Amino acid sequence: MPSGPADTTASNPPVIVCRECGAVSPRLTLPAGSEENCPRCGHRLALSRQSCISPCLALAVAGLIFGLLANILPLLVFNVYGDEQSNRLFSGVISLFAQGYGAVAVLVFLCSMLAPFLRFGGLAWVLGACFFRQPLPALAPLLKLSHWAGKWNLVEVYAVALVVAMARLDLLGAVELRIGAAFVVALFLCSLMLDQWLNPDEVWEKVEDLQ
Amino acid sequence: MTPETAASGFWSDCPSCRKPHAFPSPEAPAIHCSRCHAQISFRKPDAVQRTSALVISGLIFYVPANILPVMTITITGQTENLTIWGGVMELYDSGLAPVAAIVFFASILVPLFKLLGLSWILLALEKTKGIRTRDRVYTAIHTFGRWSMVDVYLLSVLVAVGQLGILASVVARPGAIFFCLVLVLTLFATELFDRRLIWDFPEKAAAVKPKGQP
Repeated sequence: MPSGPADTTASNPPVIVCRECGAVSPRLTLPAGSEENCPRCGHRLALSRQSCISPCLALAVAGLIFGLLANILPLLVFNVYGDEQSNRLFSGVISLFAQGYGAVAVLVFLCSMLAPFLRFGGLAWVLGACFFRQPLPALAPLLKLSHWAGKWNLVEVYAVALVVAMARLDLLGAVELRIGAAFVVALFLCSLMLDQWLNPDEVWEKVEDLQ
Repeated sequence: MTPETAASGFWSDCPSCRKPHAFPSPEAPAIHCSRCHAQISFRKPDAVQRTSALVISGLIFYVPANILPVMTITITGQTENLTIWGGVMELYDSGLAPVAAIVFFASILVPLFKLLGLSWILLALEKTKGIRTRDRVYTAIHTFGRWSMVDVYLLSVLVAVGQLGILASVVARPGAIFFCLVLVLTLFATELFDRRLIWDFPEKAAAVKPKGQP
């Protein structure tokens, strides 16, 4: 059960605004393991749980490493009568550019390479600063950037597209997965768990304290 | 200030860091977040006009995106122009029904659901019934919207491996540009819309309506 209103200071306003419907509710001090829900739409407003800093830092660093490997290594190899070609994340972007479809290439580059890098890199920097209590430069801008990058990070969709591409290419010739595809899936899992565990309110409060 | 009186004011949270800020009135000009310096309006500016414009453009481009071929595949001399729908049918005819279902869901259902769902939400803003349903539709659009990217990624993989000279080639076609346009327009339409408006208008109408009238 929620127990009374929380301490209110300038950096910690007395209210919570529902992200879903905009209703304003008083901010409560939550006992461990309980949550506060919006009285109008039922959306979860706040959840009392363990600090997300160290697990999310681990996920962000792992995501950076997996992302690097997924970018370097080939994802799949396609073979027609002995003639074969491998696919990397970047080769699709280059081929689309070469065929005059620059806009499509930019979209693929943004959603499969740039946004995941900014998302994981930004969070690794900010969470690292929180974990080691170091007031590193550019914490607030990078946290803001990683929030917007998260919206364009479509790496989980890429993992599914690889499955569809396998099925489709199998109709045309021989196709084999390569080790890079495993790192795309690993990146997708990191991305999923990070979205689930990250508590932006906690990170922002820590960043505000560090500055 | 007790939490109860504070909770009755005009509060809005920062779109980037979610810190709540108090506004003197709903029409007050935009301010900057004290924590992350992002711009905050009480409600997203011109949300209805912007979303409507993007949804209408999306509906227009949805037609060429589905009529024009998105790619041409040539394998050992046999050339095939594939539309989005053609790609689904080919996978289905080859006995790959589950994969066909993924592409059908991601490339045909999701864009259509986004465009029609947002249109309905915009047209029904001043209706007091069905708020919760519209709210759920918006949540679904927000959750599934990104999956329409499957076909664009698929194209990028096929184009990358389809560079085997006369043996096999995959070439992108103009339909792909229209498909990407629909995708980006609907993603922005969802982002620029303010879902709190679904709850605002009926409440305002209820406050204005005199008692005793139907």
